Amino acid sequence: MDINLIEPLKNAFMLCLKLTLIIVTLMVIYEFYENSRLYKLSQKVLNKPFYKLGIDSNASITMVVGLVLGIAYGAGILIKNAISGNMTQKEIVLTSLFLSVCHAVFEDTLLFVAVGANGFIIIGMRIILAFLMIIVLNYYYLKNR
Amino acid sequence: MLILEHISKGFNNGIKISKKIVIFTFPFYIAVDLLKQLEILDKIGSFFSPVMKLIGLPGEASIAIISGMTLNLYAAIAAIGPLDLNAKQITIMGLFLGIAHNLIIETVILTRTGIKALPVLSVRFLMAFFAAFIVNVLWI
Repeated sequence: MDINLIEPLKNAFMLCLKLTLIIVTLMVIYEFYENSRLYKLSQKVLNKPFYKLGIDSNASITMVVGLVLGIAYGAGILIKNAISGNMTQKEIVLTSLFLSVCHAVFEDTLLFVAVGANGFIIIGMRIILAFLMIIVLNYYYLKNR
Repeated sequence: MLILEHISKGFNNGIKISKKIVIFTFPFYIAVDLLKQLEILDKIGSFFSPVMKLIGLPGEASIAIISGMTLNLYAAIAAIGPLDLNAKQITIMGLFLGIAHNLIIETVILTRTGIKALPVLSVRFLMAFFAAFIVNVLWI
């Protein structure tokens, strides 16, 4: 059997290059966003619904980024916040699990809509299930405290 | 000069995080691609086909699910092409893979936050299966 090693090497390199380019671009944009008035405003708006779910505003921003962009990019910001000690252990776990189920919802879904899927069902189910999961896990955390 | 400061800080953060991700992504991508070339992925696909019936998908669809779960959505979309699925089946496939795709690489990335791999993997797989099962039952 012939095993092609050059093609995957090339693809892996291109993937890493793509990831790096997008992450660096995103991080520069995020740096501006984090230091703007918009950041404080969006934190205030997002705070209420997420606070009820046991998630601090710092983590809620990460969730929104991951929800719209992808896991690599959402996790990029998540890793940054987790390392800098801005998040509690519970928030890291809840945010990671939320992101693992619900990320890049628009990009992923559009791919399947292009081949004939119902996008509303896909996006709706993912968001509802992810929030239900967070509610259940948060309840579990509160009970075990 | 605040603008330049933001740019350089963001750039440095980006490079630092990219390094963390790329160190794992690069070898894993090659490993998974080799599994595909050795036709091990195909064997796993036919093994799982009875389970596919529970979520309303034909046996051959497990190939697409497996490629989506181990590789990425582009591989899954390519595998869906020759299967001739209807709108319900493609929606179920999109929902399942939307929740559980690219599991190897994405789990490795997520564990960088300090979370364990096993809970992430099991949550994604169970949620995907649960969601697909619900749509299969409710969509008449």
